[in-house]
Amino acid sequence: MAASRGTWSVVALALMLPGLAGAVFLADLAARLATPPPAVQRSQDALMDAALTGTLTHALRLMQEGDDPVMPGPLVHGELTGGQEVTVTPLAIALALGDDNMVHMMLNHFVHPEDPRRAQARCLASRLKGGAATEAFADLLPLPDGGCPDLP
Amino acid sequence: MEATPGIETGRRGRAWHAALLLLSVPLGVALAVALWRVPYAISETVAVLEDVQRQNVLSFFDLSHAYVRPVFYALLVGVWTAADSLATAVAWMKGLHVATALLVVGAFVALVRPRNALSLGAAAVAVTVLVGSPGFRDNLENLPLNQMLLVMLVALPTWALVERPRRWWHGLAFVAATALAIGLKEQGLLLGVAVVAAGLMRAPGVSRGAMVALTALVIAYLGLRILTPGTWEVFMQDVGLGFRRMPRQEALTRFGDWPYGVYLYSMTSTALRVLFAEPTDGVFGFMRQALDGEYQTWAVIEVLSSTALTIVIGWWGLRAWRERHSSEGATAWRLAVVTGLIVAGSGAFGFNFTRDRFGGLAAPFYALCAFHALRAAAERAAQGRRLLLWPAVVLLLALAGAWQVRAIGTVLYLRATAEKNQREWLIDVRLRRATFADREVYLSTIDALVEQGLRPLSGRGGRDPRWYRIFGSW
Repeated sequence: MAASRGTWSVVALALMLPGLAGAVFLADLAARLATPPPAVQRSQDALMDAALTGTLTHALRLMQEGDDPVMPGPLVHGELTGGQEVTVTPLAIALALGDDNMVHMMLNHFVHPEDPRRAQARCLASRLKGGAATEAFADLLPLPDGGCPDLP
Repeated sequence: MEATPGIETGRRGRAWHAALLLLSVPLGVALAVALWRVPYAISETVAVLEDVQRQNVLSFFDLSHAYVRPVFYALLVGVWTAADSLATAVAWMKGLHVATALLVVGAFVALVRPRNALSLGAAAVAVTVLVGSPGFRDNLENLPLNQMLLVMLVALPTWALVERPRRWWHGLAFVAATALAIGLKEQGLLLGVAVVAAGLMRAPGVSRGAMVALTALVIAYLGLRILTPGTWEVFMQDVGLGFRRMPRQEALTRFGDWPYGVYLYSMTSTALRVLFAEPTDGVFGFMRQALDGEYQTWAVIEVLSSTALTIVIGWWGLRAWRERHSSEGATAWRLAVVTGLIVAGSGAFGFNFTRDRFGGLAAPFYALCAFHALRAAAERAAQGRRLLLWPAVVLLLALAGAWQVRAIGTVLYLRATAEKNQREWLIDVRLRRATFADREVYLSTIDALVEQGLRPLSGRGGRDPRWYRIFGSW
């Protein structure tokens, strides 16, 4: 049976419509993927927030732009500090939360091996019980030569 | 330009072809951008680059190893030697990888020749079948470069020659292409098998001499490979079996004495994955979900679209067999048989364990079949009874839509891979340095690549359309 031009067009359109819609989505996706990374929103506790939420790539950007994972700052947190203000480092937060990946990243790339604050974090890790991050940290870093100071 | 039987050439044919190219541009651009921003993986790429620096080129021709890929390594050594620094070499390899992926899609677009609006629609869907298939997607991994992607690139123009009127140099081209493909990855042997099979079915481009030479090449290589003593492990990697992935050691303990049942399972799994999108790496994940009543939309789309397309291809293949004595029917029948052989052969090569990438060479042939089958189905729908027109239109629309979603899924998969690879660079560097502390070249390669691994990824801004959620974590 010969097909009319209209029928022919309807069937052709059925095959092509998703492709046309897909082209729009793909063009948008390509444009977004090619966009340079946006500037990082900096704030005083941005790295602390990233450590608290476990957002690795955001923490990476902050540290690439100079934020220091062993720079102490004030933290008030319901669970970690019981609502009290405590001075801690982002690295210590990652350890306390047992965020293995965050701890590895901070130690791998952004904490200088000779920095004495690594030793402080190592001591903190030795007091935390269990957790993959604690164990990983212990593997990566020996305890300070003089041992850890006693808790007050 | 010489015409392939049954295919319109000339100005009108070229206009349809240009329209197909235009339709494929956004997909090509998205693929290129997404591939370019993927950092090299710390896991395999560093080890491959270490081999390139440490080993003598001749050692890559040693047939006693489980994996023999001399041309692939020669290519890497060539780029490595020509570049004046590691950064230049790495940039060149990434550029070549992106170009290879685009050329595979380009070669496919060149091979399918739409001659009217219906076949343009079928061709556009076929392009998404290629890009959305697991075999293509998994081979976008930059090792650096990817052997199977290069084999696909060799296979497509070779197949075009098979169906072209014979020239004196065709035989030489077939032998060279097959030798090149084998040197890139041993699955390249299937290319020789495909050309011989097409020749036996009177493909116009294949002479008897070419068939003899190819048969000799394939047998000689297999003979050399089998006769060369070497150590072959019973299971080289983890094995997918039933509903779970079994660690290699457990597989050895349970099936080490008689592994042939598991081999048969892995072979069948590779073929089933190409045709029905299930199982993945030998694991029936979708079926598990179905039994648990927890469907993932993405898995449903994959399984339904593959199954529906394979049914359409099966119908077309049957029709091609009935019409095999006509010129166009014979062309279709050859393609159907060769695709069947390549799917089965890809399964055979994945006897030890199965992964999506083993279906790589089958992907362009399956997509070629999809083009012919969808065109035939669309013509049948347009010319058939009026009562059946609308159900057919809805089915074709759904099938085309599902494969379009899968093609977009491939780009999103690359986006997720970029983040995964970067995460590995963030987390694993120290562990790798400690594990391979005695391998100086490995360590220097890690040091040289760490900057690209940590470079902020472009394109993190902007919000995805809500429907992208069907891809889950992609």
